[in-house]
Formats: sequence, C-alpha cells, structure tokens
Amino acid sequence: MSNNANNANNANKDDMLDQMTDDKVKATVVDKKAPNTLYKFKPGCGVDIGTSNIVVSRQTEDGTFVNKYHRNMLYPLDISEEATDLLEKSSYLYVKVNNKYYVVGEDALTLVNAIGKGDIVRPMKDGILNPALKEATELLFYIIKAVVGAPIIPNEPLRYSLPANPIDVPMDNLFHKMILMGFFKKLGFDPKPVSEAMCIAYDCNPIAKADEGEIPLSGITCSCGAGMWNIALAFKGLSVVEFSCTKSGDYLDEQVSKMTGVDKAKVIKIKEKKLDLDNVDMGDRVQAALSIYYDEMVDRMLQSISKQFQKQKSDMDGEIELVLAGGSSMVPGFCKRVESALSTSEFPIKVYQVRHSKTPFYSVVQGACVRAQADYSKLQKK
Amino acid sequence: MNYLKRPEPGRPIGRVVERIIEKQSTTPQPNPPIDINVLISAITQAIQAIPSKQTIVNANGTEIEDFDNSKTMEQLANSMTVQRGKKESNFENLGNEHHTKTNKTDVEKTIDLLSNLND
Repeated sequence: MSNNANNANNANKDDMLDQMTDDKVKATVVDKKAPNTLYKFKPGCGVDIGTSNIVVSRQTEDGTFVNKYHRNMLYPLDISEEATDLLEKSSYLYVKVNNKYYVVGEDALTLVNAIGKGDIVRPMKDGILNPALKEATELLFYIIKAVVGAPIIPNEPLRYSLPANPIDVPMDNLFHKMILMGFFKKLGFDPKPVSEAMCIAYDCNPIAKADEGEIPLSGITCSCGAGMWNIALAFKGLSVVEFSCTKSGDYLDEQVSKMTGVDKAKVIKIKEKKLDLDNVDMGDRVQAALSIYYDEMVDRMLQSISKQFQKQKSDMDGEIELVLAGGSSMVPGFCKRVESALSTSEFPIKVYQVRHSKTPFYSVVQGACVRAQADYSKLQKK
Repeated sequence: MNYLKRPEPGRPIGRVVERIIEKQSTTPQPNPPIDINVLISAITQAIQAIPSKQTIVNANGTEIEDFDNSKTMEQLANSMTVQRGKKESNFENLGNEHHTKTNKTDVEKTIDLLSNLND
C-alpha cells in the first residue's frame, strides 16, 4: 500500500474514533502531570495491546470505567538541526531512541501529513511485534509505560487480552504473551493474560436460560477486530471453547478492493461513512461488494463456531445469548445480519438473542479490567 | 528410384513379420544398463512410506512438532524486554480518555463470581 493510502487508512480510523466519542462519552487529553491520580481507582488494571491501538482501563469507586487509548503509531525523523528545531517549537510528543526521533500517536499522523513524505511505522504488525522495526520492543515498552502508568498498589493485578490461536493460519501467540508479560512485570504489576473473547463475557455478562433458571456469564462472545475475530463459548465465567480466525475486517476490505478495483483506503471510507447493512445502496458497487463479503464473513463465523463446537463435543442445555463487540461489528445492521444467518443455519446451540455490546470498542479492555479486579478480590479473600 | 520390393498384390506379409519377431526374441540380449537414479528414487519412495517419527497434525492440516519451546520463548522474550541505551522524551504519560458509566452493582456481582474461579 502506498504511503498516501496508509495515511488515508489511518485517517479513516480517526474518523471511527471520533464517532465513538459521542455525547454519552467524554474524550479529553489526560493531565500530563497527574497520571492515575486524578481519580480514585479500584485496584485491577485491564490492557488491550492491539496493532492499531493501546487501550487501558481502570474503574473508579463510583463504577465508571476510565479508558485510556493511544494510537499505536510512530513517525521516525533523523536527528538534525531542523528536526530538533521543529520538535522544540511544536507540541508534538516524541521519544528519542538511538539516532532517531520518533513522534508518537496522533502527532505522527499529523506530522506525516504536514511533511508529505516518509512513512508511519507501527511497533506491532499483524498482532505481534513488528520485525521490520529494529527498536520495536524498546519503543513499545516505552509507550506502554506512558499509557499504562505505574501500579496504584505494589504488585497490582493486571490482565492483558490475548487472542486465541487462529484456526486458519499456523500462528502461536506464546511469544507475544511472554513479551507482554515481561513488560508488565518490569512496570511492577502482577500480570496475567486473559482471553480476548472471554473479556467480552466479563464486560457484557451474557445470560443462558436453562431449566435451572438464568445462568450468568454463559453464552457465545465474539470480538470482531480488524485483523481477526475471536470466539469463545463461556459457561459460568469459564471458557469452554475458544478460537480465532484471521478473515475479518482487513481481509474484507482487501477482497472488496480487489474485486471492485477501488483503492482500499476508499473502501474503508465507504465502509465507515456510508455502509448500512440494513439499507445497502446496491447501485454503489463498493457497498454491494461489502454487503456480500459481510454475509460471507458472518456465514464463515457461524460455520466455524458450529464445526469447532461439534469437534470439541461442546453442548449446552437451554438457550444462550450471542454477544458481539469489536470495531468490525460497528457497521449498522451487522447484528441483524448475524441474526438472519443464524435463523437459516443449523447451529448446534439454540440462540435466543444476538446482542451488541454497548461499548463495542472498549468491551475487551473493560472485561480485562473486571477480571483484574476479580484477581485483587481473590487476593483479599485469602 | 524406389528399389524396395513391393509385396505382390494378394501375397500375405504377416508371416514374414512374425518370423522376424520370433528370431529377435530367441536371440540372447545383453543386460540393459542399470539406471542408478531410478533405483535411488525407488528406494527413497519405499523408505518414505515407512513411518519413522510420530507427528501431530493441527486443525489446518500442517504438521507441528511435539516439543515444548515455552522455556526458549520466555528467555527470548526476557532478552527483548531489556532496555538498551537512554531514551529521551517530552512526555510522561500518553493517551486520551473515554468514560463508560456502568451499573456498579452488576459489575460487582461479576467480580464476585469471577473471584471464586481458578485461572
């Protein structure tokens, strides 16, 4: 992808974040001098390190989740008099490593657009550390430290979300898990990984209806991200089956771009600005193709769930809820498509409701925070 | 000019051909040369057919090793989290905030339930 296309892609993601910060929520720049001291937080921190964003969640005493998000991107500048002058006169946030300045987060995007040359680089690529960036681990650690902050108590429990191993590509998340574990330990936390899809269960609490009554934290949860979707079958807060698949939002954009010959950045823009799966403009070939590929994605998701559940011989009495979250689930009408596909498929478990998370972008990190608070509560009980 | 004797019309030629074939088959032939490559290929195929090691096949059909490399991964991860050299920056903390109001009681119930579970 060209640099311009990359920038446009990132700009579209910005639009998506803007949409998320509606009147129900408040987006403010954190007071630089007082991290983690502006609020009275309960011990237990949730972290979601993604390819695009780093999100941290803590809960205040009054029950509000305070989520901090940082765009996981950098713009490298060779050290020169001009570069030093530019950074001194501006308010761009940067870190100096070896012989380079790295402008971080949103400022990286602003600067690359202003200068008009060079590339945005990411410390993460395809869900793991970017092997093309020599300083990836050092930069990522520095940025994580600045976003997460210090533990509020010694050895504060921290849960970081971890995707399940995918069923369609040979990939192991072990190294990613170990690297992040090392980072958080160095920061003074007591870190543990938590399944990405199970985080949605902890945040949204799906309810199963059985003869014995309503069973909390039981159902199917799906985190529809850009790089992959993660699925879990939860029962009373425990994971029965979990897996992931890489054919998610990014794959969908690429396929539509290939089939229509329209630039990927434009496809993303149409997807985020115009597409409504309840009311598709079939005269627009990109919207038509997106609609078709969304159907394919939903069918693949349901078929994979059926296959994996049958393979693991998973069964559940009664009826369950299917809860959806993640960026790729935010297109209007997505839940209805899932409901419609469910009604015509031979699904092994009876689903009485498809529910969309109230905060689809923050569900994973909020669930991780809830799990970390439970770890703290467990320690208190001992 | 064509000097070959043409068979006379109506005279059968089949018997002559049969006699030639008969003669060739009774004449001892020298042993054909052994093609080493063919031999190697045949032996290799035979050996490959014998299972020599146990392999585990994962969901997508690729073979994976039955070896626990978690220790290596841990050591590698630790070596990569070492901070080399001094870093300078003009920030101490990063990120924008987003607040989500929740029902405190519901969250507390979930926490209570999860705190009774093992990892």
